[in-house]
Amino acid sequence: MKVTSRKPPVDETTHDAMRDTNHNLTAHSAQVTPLLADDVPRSPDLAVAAVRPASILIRRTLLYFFVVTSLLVVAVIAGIAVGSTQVAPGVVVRVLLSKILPVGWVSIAGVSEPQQIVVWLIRTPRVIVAALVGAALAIAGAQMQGLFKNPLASPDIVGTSAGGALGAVLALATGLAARSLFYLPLFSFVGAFIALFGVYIIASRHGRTPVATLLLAGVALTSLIGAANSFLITATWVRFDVAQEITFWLLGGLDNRTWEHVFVALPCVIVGACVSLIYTRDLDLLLAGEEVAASLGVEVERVKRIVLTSAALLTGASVAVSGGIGFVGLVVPHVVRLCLGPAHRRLIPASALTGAAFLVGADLLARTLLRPEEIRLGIITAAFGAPFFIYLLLRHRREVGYV
Amino acid sequence: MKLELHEAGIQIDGCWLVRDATIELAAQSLTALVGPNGSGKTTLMRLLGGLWSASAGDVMLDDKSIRSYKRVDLARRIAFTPQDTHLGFAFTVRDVVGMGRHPHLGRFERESERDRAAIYHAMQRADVLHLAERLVTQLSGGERQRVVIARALATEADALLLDEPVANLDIGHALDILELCRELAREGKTILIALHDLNLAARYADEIVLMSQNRILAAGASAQVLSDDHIARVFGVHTTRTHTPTGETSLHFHRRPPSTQNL
Repeated sequence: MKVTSRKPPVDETTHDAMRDTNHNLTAHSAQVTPLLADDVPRSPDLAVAAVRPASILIRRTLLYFFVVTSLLVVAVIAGIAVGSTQVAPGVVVRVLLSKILPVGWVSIAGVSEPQQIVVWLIRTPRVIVAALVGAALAIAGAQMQGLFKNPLASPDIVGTSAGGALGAVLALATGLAARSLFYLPLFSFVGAFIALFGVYIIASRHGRTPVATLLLAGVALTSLIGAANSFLITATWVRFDVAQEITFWLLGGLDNRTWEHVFVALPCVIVGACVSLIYTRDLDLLLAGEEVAASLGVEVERVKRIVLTSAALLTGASVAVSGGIGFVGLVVPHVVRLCLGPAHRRLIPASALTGAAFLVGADLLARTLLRPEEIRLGIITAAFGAPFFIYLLLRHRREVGYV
Repeated sequence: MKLELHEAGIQIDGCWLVRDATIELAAQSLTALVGPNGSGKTTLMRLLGGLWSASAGDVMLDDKSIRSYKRVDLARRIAFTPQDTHLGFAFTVRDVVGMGRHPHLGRFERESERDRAAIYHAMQRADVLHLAERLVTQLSGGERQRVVIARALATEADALLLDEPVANLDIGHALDILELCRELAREGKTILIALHDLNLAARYADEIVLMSQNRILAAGASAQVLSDDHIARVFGVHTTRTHTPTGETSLHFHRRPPSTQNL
């Protein structure tokens, strides 16, 4: 394609602009876009710098990551140190390092056997599970909010949490959960995926799955599963203590978490998180609308399936090891978005860290606020998450865009 | 760049949204797509952009079926801007325009200087450079329209499909957008633009495609396509014409036959 400017140059700048554009076009007509450095129009560096991502944002992002990582480290150490038996933070660090680093690098002479057990076998797995669940729910929340173009979406919106809960409730009600530690997470996973699959099938038609239908199907299935859960709690053939255990479990908690729970959740969270990081730009584009995303080269339906699956993996993993913990997936991505903007390449990793720090902190509060009594973690996250969320809404009312 | 429809149609739930459409978008020109609401304009754009696949006939890009292209390759050739430009999330204008580089970037690739230059020129062309750091949620309708056009330009695609880009704009901003489209066509882009205003279509477009009841009724120069007869059949209105001092023809529309004494 040969392009000639039919209009005489009006002035120097338009002339330049036109020549530059022509330049691009001729290069482009070669089809495969051989866009090499020498093709870069001779625009002054300053001009191109003008469209560089704002340096303020980069600095703010670095600061955010630094602050949240520090908070996470502090929360983890405090979470391991504080409890019915207090352990000095220095001891916590030493025990952790001695376990992680090669034998002999860090000496734990002088740390009593019971203290080592408390730190390494009781509190560390609990704190790690909290961090994993927090990160998983926050990532899944960010993904759902992106996919549904709605800042009020949360990981449970497509029925995965409810499905996971039903699986777990079934495991508890049938007594299988009491036999092996792995039954409950397994049932919970299966439940989460069956629920997602059901919602997806209901919402799909002619190879397309409109997110609005997906959302409605999710809401419908969630209430249906909720009814099943309530039935199982109240049914007379379920023993009263089992029913109470179910209720407790539904409220979400991290008591008696062991390394087994860590190993159940860890692979799923790692896989889910990696997948979520691969599809960050696609999620950005989906926010601009599915047609726009498709016109910019996104395989919309495929990305939807992948994102839903990874979110279900993350939600399923967290429901499996911690029960129903609300508000993390809703509030955390929202807070991060207010600080760092909506771009998912920043949002998702920042949400993961923030969610982890938030949940480790919340679990610490749950254990310490009414000592020796323990408050259910789900109550803490809702009690702190909801007011904070309302505060954010009031403060940023104008900035929070709604669909 | 050659983009054409061959007896293309699309059927959903037994209902033809577009039927037997055959057109060839003239390269390096501005084509206006006009027709009443629901006549199939948006669907025709979706067909041409490969966003929906034809249930009959075919869409050809450079003599090859659009089906034989990969999604991302199409995205490098054909850019699309939707009717609804609303974006509920607080991206900066620069980030939104940057999305236009998606088809050129590998999954883990970061923007290169080349990409930044393309973004810069797209923003310059659509006159949104001064908005670079602003949030799209805070823009006016006219500014947002220019931003999505800049995003389409950033793809460096040869064909631009713009779905009613001036539908919600005041006349000044509407003219700005149409002037820009005309210039882009002169610089070599192939542009299809859905319009409601027949006067603007006649004034700016090199060719006009008139749709009625999900079919293409006529295509060609505005004088032939926008005849009194066509307009009466398609829109159900009567047309009178006046000639302006600047030598242009202006169309006026009436639901009932106008009394000639008043003219």
